[in-house]
Amino acid sequence: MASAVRERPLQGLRVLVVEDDYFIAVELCSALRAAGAEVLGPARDLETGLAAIREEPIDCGVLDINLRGQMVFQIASELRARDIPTIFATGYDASMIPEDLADTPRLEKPVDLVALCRAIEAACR
Amino acid sequence: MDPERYLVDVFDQLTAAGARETCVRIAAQAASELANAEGVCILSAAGDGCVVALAPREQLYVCDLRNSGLYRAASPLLRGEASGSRTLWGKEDFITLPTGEQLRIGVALIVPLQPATGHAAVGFFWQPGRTADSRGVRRLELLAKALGLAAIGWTRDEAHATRALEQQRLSADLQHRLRNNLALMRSVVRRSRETAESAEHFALHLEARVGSLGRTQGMLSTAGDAGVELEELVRTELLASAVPERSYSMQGPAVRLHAKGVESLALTVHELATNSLKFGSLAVPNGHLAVSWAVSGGQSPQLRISWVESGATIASVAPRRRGFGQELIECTLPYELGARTCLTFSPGGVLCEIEIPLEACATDVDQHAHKAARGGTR
Repeated sequence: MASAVRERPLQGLRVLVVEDDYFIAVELCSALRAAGAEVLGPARDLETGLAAIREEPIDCGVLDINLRGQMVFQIASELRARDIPTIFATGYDASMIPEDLADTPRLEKPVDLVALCRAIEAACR
Repeated sequence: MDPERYLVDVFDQLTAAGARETCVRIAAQAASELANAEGVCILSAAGDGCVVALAPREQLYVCDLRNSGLYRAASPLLRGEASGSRTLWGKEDFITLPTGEQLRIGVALIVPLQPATGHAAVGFFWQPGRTADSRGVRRLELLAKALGLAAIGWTRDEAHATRALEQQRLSADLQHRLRNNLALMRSVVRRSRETAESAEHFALHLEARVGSLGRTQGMLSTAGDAGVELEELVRTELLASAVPERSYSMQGPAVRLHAKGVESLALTVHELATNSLKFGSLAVPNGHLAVSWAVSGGQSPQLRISWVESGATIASVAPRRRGFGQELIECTLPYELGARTCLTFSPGGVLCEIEIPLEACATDVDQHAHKAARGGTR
C-alpha cells in the first residue's frame, strides 16, 4: 500500500488547471491524473477559470499567468482568499507577479512535471 | 542678498539637480526669493500636463491649465504668434490644482522656451495685488532660461528611462514567448510520440512539426504586431511541403491573423497538407486542393475556412484512431480559438471546415477583414 501511495501522491486531490495552450494543458492534466489527482478543467481563459472555482470544490489551482493577454491574478486572489493553495506555471519571471501573491510557488515553463506534482503535494498536505 | 550672486548659486543647483521635480522646486524657491513670486509652472504647448510648484510647498502639481486665463494669455506666445520673449499679464484668475484647491493669481510672467528644451514656456505667477519690478522680471527671465537648459537634461534622462523600461518589457515578453514555445514544443513531442505508429513515423512527423513551429515563429517575428496574412500562411506551409502550385487554389479576402491565430492555424495547415500528400488529393496526379475562406458579417463575425480535396482515390475511410492532425483540428482549434470544426474523410479526399470567431484569430478586424471582405475575392 505504501508504494501505491507514493506512486499516486495526489490521490484524492481535486486540482484545477488554467492554461490557454491546448497541448500544454493536455500534458499538465495527464501528468496530474497519472499522479492520482482528479483534474478540473483545463480552463482556457479567465472567465472559465473563475466559473470553475466558484462552482466546484477544489484543493489546488495550477495557473498559467498570461491567458491570451489576460492576467490570471484574479483567480489566484480568489483562491488565496479561500485558503486554497495555488501554483503558477509560467514563462514569466517573478517580477511579473503582484506583491500580494509574491509568495505563491512558481514553476517555470517548460514545467518539470515531477516537480509540479511534488509542489502540489507539499502545498496540500 | 546679492541677487546676481544668488542667481549664480541657483544655476549651479539646477545643473547639479538634474531631475525635473527637483529643478522645478528650486526654481519656485528662487522665484520667491528674487521677485516674491507665488510659484512657477512649466507650460506644455497644449496646456495639459503642466507642472506647478508653489514656493512654500514641497508638493508639485500636474495640472491641466487649458481653461486657465494664464494659458489663454500665454497661447499666442506658445504658438509663435506673438513676438517678444515675455508677457506680463494682469487679470485676476485662478489655477485649479488636482486636489480641487483653487489658487488665486493676479499677475503672471510667461517666458517662452526654445523647442529643444521639450517644453513650451515657463510661467511665474503672483497673488492678486502683488507683482515684480523690471529688475525682478529680468532676473526671472534668466531663471527661466536656466530652467530651460535643465529641461534639456531631464527630458533626455526621462527618454532614456522610458527606453530602458521598454527594453525591459520587450525582454520579459521575449522570455515569456521563448519559454512558452519550449513548453509547446515539449508537449508536441510528447503528443507526437503517443500518436505515432512507429519510431520512423514519430521521427519523420516530429521533424516536420518542429519545422512548422519554426516557420510560424519566423513569420511572427517578421510581421511584428502587424499580423500575418492568412494567404501567406497557407502558401508558406504548402510551399514548405513542396506542394506544386498547379495542384491547389486559394481564394478569400485579405485577413490578417494575430499571433495565436497564426500559431494554431499554421500547424493545422501543415498537418492537413502532410496528410493530403500521403493519402489525399495531393498524392495523385489529377487530384486538386481548394483552400478558400470568407468572413461572415453580423454581430459576431466568423472566419470560415474550407479545405476541400478532390480527385483522391484512397482516403475514403477515416483512420482507425485519432492522429495528431485530427486532434489538432477537433480539439486544439476549439480549445484555443473557440473554433467549430468538421473533418470528413470522403472518397475524393479530406474535407475540412473551420469556423473561428474573427476576434479570436484576426487583428485589426474593421480596417482589414471587413473592408477586404467587401472588396470581394481575388
